[in-house]
Amino acid sequence: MKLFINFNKNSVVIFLDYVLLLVFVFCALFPLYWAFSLSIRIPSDIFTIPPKLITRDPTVKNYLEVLFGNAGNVNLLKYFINSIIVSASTAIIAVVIGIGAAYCFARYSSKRLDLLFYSFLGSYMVPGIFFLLPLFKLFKYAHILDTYLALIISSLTFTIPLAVWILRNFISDIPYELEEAAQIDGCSRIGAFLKVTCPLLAPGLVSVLVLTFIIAWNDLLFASVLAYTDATKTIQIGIFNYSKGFLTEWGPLMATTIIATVPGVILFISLSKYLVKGLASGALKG
Amino acid sequence: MKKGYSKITKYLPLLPGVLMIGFFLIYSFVGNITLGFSEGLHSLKEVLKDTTFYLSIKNTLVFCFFSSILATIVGFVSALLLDTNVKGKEVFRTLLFVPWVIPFATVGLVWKLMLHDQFGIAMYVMRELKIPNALLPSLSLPNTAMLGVLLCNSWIQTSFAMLVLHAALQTIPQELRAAAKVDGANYGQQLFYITLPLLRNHLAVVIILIFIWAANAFALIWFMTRGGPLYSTQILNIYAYSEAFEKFRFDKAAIASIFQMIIISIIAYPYFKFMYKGEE
Repeated sequence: MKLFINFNKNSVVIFLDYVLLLVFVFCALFPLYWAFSLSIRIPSDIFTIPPKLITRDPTVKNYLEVLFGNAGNVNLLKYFINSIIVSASTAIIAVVIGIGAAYCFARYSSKRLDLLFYSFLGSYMVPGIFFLLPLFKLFKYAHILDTYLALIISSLTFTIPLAVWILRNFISDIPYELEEAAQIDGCSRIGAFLKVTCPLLAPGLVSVLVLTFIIAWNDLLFASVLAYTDATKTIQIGIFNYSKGFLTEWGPLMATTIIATVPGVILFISLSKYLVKGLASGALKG
Repeated sequence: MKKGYSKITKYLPLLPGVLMIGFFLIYSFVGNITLGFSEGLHSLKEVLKDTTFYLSIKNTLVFCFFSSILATIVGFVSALLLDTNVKGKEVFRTLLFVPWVIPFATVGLVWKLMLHDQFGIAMYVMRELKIPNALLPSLSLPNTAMLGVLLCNSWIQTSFAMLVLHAALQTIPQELRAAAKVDGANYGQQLFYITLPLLRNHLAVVIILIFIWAANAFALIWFMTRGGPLYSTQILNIYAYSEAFEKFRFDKAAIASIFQMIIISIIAYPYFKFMYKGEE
């Protein structure tokens, strides 16, 4: 419990605090509500002046149209599945590759290691297009354009550094003494890590997996270039293609975006505690 | 404890990560230079003659700078609001973080619709509030499109700023605040003389991170305006993307992305110096 002024005595201030917070929350949530509301409206409810805040005649027509209608050659269901496969694989691989590096950065300390760590972080700041151009040429040459592999590799460019960064902070939070004790009892260094630290690391691992999933899910830049058939197109591309052809169809357009929003929001709500802790601690300790 | 093979096996877990990132970085450096100078300095000269190139740089700096400042300020205010005795803090914090979790496609498109000149609800509200036309963030006018895109990105990143700064505020020791209170400091004085100095590093981290992410913000702008109207929202990576995949000039695109890399490095360097020194 933090006290700047003794708020308990000053109910006016507390009241203002609540009001401001509610205003902020409203601003934060309104666009999502709006997207959802538009997605269940018929056109005559959408294109009104002045705009209607709430609709009296909701409809699922928009969702049916985008999911099963094949309008504009957009196979949304397939793209959704592609996105899930690519994002989930990216998350798992990023964590598997990253956890080793995170362990070394957390448990050992040396000037050289510090430099290496900050190079990792530095690579996180590289603009996506900088990776994309040479990778595109490479994938084209290797004939792996338009494959899950290409999408996953390119997503790893921006997820591995983040995973390493946050995992390192989580691992340093767990005292090394626990592993030391296990090693005295006969475990190897890695064994100690796996048996003692990893179970404690579980919330952190979950939060990193979810975070990298969401970030990979969001990618448009790489997917737009590396995936050009229905076999691998991701949902972000689907939405974009739909918006290109049907920009005036606000209802169905919002339906596509809501469909793309669902996994992230579900993951977030069910795991918000871990996610929030993970991001905050990661950025706090730099 | 065996010391024989220890050095190698000690650092073995680092290998996959370092190899991958090393490959990405080195291959991209070499690749972009090769692509960019495949026709000698000709491509460089062409890029430097493009007015849209300079416009893109200006847009990038404006977009990144104002996004980070705006998001950090509003995020900081939210964090302060949460740093009190209000009930249901956790709920508020979770709800305030939702914007960061929504895909850019959803955010970009719904904001585009909300800011629609005729049917957009946000536009309607702003007109009702008698905001002058010149300040309305209309995405269809070159003068104001950047404002719209900026507001949207700031809206997203405020969640992140709020999260980090809220966690940072929690690390301020109770004793410090109690001592200030005993000394008779009011809220404003505590804010300026205690909170802000202690939070300096975190504020810097937040500002720089949001800046970098804004420079990378391809999806958001692409969904909202595709860089238009009249290149008024085209940031540098959109310029590079458009050169590569719409005009098929990989050489110019590579040059542009090298420029972006240099600009980002110049901005990020003080951040790294900050953090590196902080670790000692």
